[in-house]
Amino acid sequence: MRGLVDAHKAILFKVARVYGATDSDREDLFQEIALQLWHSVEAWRGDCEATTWIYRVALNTALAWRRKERRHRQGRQDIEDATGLLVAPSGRDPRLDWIYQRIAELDEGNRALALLMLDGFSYRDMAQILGLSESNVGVKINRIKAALAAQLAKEEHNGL
Amino acid sequence: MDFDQMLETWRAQNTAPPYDVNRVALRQALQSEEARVRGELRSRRRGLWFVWIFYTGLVVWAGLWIAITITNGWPTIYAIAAGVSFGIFEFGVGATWVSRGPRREPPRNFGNTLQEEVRRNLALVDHELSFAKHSIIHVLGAVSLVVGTLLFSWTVNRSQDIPDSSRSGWFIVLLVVWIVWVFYSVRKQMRKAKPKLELRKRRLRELLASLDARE
Repeated sequence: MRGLVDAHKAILFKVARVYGATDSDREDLFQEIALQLWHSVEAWRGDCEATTWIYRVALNTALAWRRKERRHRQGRQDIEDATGLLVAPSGRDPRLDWIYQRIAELDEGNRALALLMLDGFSYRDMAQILGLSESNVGVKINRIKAALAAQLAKEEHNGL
Repeated sequence: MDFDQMLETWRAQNTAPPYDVNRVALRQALQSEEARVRGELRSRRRGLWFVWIFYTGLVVWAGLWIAITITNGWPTIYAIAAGVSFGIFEFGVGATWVSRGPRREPPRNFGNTLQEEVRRNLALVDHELSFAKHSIIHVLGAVSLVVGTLLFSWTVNRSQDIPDSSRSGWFIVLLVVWIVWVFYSVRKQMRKAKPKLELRKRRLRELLASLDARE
């Protein structure tokens, strides 16, 4: 199990980065996803790719975590923001931050689709992971791509 | 950047992780955790030293009482009861001594790297776990204090012709209830604490492994 998570750690980082607003949120979410993977590993029968299964668990956990966090955060200040144990390494490609910022501007459902699209999943796999119809996925992906293309065109003038 | 370059940038994350351990925050978290645990250990040790001194006083007192009983030629039953109390208090002294856990404090001077901070925290968790292992001896020490005191006060009262209080029956019942309560509350506390400590130990080990892997 540990080897499986280690081999696909990048997925956990990406999902935590997309759904966690602060470093400390990302740390919490990362641990939560790792825990959920641990709990649900027995339910995985190998009927799909390991990445598909990990994405499914990670995205469902992230969405549930967001709902829970929204309830907890009411009336609470983000005093723990500075204590996160994960941090972006220095020298990271600034274009990556730009992509994450664009994803963060999407609604929560579309963020999941954007992640899967960027990682090269087929419409069929996306539909399977998120419990949507393939045609619905197609429509949404086209909108996301159009929005990203528009942003890219806009940013080209700024030398990105 | 065009769409293809964007995809390329995105997929580059799979080879170079987008996040790393925040070493400054981690060091602070580890140091504050170490300070908290060491503070708890200090206050626990102080408490145990106090109990140990108290027991030793009772042992001396019971020993003196045996000598007084024999010197004055009082009935042998009083000397036997005082002797049993003496034995029980001796057991209390031993139990308190053992329940201090390992005698040596967890080491402080591994060094100042992040891995060494983690190792120090691991040593503290091990220390706490060994203390938890001795909890039953600690409970027995508390029980022996009550039983020994009851027996000893009976001996002293009888030898001095002090009549038993009409409330002494209720007092014994209350003490028995207290013993049972102490026993169960300590057991419950230890049952809760042990899995938490084991989990903290596992997490620290994983953290240490991931830090070593980054070096």
